[in-house]
Amino acid sequence: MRLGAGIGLRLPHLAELAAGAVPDLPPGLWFEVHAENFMVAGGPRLAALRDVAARWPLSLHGVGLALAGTQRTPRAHLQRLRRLCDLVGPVLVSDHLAWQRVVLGASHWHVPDFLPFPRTRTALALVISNVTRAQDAIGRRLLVENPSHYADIGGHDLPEAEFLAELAQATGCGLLIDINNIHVSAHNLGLDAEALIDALPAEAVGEIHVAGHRADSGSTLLIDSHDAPVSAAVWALAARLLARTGPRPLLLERDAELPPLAELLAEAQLAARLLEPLHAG
Amino acid sequence: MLAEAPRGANRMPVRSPARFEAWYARLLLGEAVPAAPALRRAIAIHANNAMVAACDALASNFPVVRAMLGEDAFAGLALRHVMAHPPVDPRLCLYGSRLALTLAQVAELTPWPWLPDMARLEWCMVEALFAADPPARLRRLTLGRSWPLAPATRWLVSEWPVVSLWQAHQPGADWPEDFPRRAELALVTRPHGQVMVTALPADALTLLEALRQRTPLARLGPESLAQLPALAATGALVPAIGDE
Repeated sequence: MRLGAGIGLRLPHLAELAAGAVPDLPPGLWFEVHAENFMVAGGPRLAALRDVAARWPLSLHGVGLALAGTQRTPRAHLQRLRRLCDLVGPVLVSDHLAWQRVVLGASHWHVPDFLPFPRTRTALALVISNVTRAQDAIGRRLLVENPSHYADIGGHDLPEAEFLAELAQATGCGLLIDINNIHVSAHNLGLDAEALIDALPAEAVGEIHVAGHRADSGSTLLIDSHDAPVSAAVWALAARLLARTGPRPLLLERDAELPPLAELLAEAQLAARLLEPLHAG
Repeated sequence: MLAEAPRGANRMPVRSPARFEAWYARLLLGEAVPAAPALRRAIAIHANNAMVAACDALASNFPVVRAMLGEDAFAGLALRHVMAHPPVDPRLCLYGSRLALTLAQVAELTPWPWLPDMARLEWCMVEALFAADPPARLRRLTLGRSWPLAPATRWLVSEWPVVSLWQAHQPGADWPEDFPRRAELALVTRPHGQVMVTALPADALTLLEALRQRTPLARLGPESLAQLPALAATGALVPAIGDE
């Protein structure tokens, strides 16, 4: 199945979609949801997702596997992801290159954000182990997303593109390249975004995200906020990557300041137009 | 105000991921402050992202507590709760099971002593929303067996009129001239996928507890048996048909 442009489906839009209350959806549309919102025993939310999955291709985007963490993802969480995969038959499954579990005495804090780490050879071995374990648990290929950076923490053995390439090579996982994260990181770290795009291993890219960002009120940084339309610079970088990868599933993410679904669908048409000539070729 | 950076806070341990995480965690928790302004701001962004996500989850799961407190007071409560009981599960839709405990510890809120029970009621609703679906096959009832509760069924015994208070805070609800000055037994069910809150007579608790203990129908008292049809109508029990 060839996926074109998709949109991140958030809870306010799920019910209207499952109820068939949205007419004139463009052909080839697909959706992506945050997997953790649906890792529940039952109920109307899960039922609505199953309705959506029965009618459109669906991608599960995890936000809790903590693939770069030293605290292993609990087996129960991997089993919940496996069960959700079995229920909805996702076309793609992904999560982030980050750590998230802070040890607090005998307990821990699951940080609902994506924390940075020095990309050392030791860290690469850890991520390879975590990704392999996750793929084995769900019985599917995972796509791993590049994170946003707000400061250069230093101590890296490998540039990010090289780290991702070796990870994909060692585990067979694919890459989910978030163009907005690259744009934001390049701005914040004083790097060349186009060079970062050009360094990525094109053959490993299995999905591309575009999203909006905003300026930080307390500094000159850009924040990966997903609360605004996609900027022209991000669309241009997406086109640059697509020229190297060929057509790839291209997803519009919006998590805050959520506009009506129709408005998101209109923005997703920009993604569809980006893909059209690639599909035609 | 930021505390002065403790000695050693700026020496990042790079080679060991575990030691790096421990070092970074201290910064995230505000136990140490990095000297580099760029790193300080980056840490603040991650800490803020994490805090906002957890607080948003609480706001979503406790809409009536939020309405009762108002936005500013609820934001303060949420912050206090996240600091005391940070999320341990990536599923933030299931975050907040202990909010009632935090509420009970806020001295300024003692004039509103029903707030912890309102949080307990809303937590029952969260659990009900995500509970397993009842079995699709109708259960055949016999006197020798129990009538199982539906997986979503929860209840709360409160010394406050929590159901009346909850109902008054629903969109479009009329505000009563006065609230009943009595305890209420709140039943939470999920008939047809919709979470419902119902006030039950106090003596229905005997029946609910008997059903929780899987008591055979033949061993229910006459009062409890008389209450069964009304309870079944709320969706509290698994769908069934009788043959006796």
